[in-house]
Amino acid sequence: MMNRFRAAACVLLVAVSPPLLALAQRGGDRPAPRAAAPPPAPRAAAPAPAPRAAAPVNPGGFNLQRDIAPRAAAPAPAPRAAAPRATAPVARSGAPGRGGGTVAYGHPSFTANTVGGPARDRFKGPVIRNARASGGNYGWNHGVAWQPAPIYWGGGFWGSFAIASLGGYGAYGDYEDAQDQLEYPSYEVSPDTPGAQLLADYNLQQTPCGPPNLVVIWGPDNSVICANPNDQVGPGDYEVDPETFTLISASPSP
Amino acid sequence: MSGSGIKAVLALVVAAVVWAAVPARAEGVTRIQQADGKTEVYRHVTIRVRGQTLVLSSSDRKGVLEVTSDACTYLAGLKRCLPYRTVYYDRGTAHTVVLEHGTVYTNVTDGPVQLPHSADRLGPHEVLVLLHTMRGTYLSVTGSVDQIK
Repeated sequence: MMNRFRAAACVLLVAVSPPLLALAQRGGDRPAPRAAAPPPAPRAAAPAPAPRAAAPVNPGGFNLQRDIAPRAAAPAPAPRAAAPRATAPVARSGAPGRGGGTVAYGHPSFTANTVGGPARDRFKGPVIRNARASGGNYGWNHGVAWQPAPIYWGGGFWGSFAIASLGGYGAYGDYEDAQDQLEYPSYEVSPDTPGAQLLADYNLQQTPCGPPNLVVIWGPDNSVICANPNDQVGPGDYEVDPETFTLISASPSP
Repeated sequence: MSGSGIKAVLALVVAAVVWAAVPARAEGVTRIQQADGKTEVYRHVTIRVRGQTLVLSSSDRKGVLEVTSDACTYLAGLKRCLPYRTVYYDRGTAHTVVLEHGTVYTNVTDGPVQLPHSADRLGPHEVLVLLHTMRGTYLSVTGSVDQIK
């Protein structure tokens, strides 16, 4: 009889030990502070700003308490005398990426009215064929539709320029619209982006916007870049057709 | 011990062995660096993909972070997208985390792929999420996708 009980106890021990071992391997629910090598940070190490008020103790989950805490009321901005600066997509209501709290994020269309700057209604001229782009819609992007991401200048077409910190990038010239008294700042196109690929397809070399007789290319959300004309693309205003990855020229002003 | 008791114990043994044999999933690792430099690492984060949204769940299931991206491009086996909306569900309550910028890389191949401008590689079907919030928090996530909806 005792042997039976011993055998049963052994079986129970065997039954209980694997889950306990597995639990020990999987670890607890709490985060392990300062463990293991972290994956690379997106940029240089974070700056060390002045310490803020202590964040509340993390009650579980991810510690994003600082990011979800209500924002302190900001002082009213001083009035600026400078000409209005069209850092797209500021023109849209409720520009994302600014301020705290709940933000309504629109999903801008590549061909919405925020494209094309002052020439937006005139892109009815000839299409300059892209000889290097793959066939089919969005063939240049493996057939996957490309949609702009709202918190980036040009939706991220020319690079991942965060609208919230555009001032830190340094403008690459300005397109000035004398009629509307607006300036459209331009930025240097990042490598490995759709914009860089487009320029390469047309053998275009980017140059700062401002001087006359340049190739002016309008991307999503009133983003604009300029390039020196070449034997494929003459000076003038152009809009990008994202599906075919071609340039559509603006018809002459009336 | 009766026969039914022994059967119950045996069933328990079999169940325990099967449970232990199933590989533990949710091996994502999340690192959060606060603006003041304080860093925490969270293990066993579940990574799900729902359309253009990555859903990251903490191991204690009290926090869920949804990262929605767009502007996706493909280069050499990598899908690179720009995140623009982040919602953190703290015990079910939604809070918008305002992003400054970020990048989401997904290895869409069955082999390792070199990350651009980096010495690191991304394993097959692994994701790397890098976020910088408007409040100065750096957040990174690495791991394999546990579920695609």
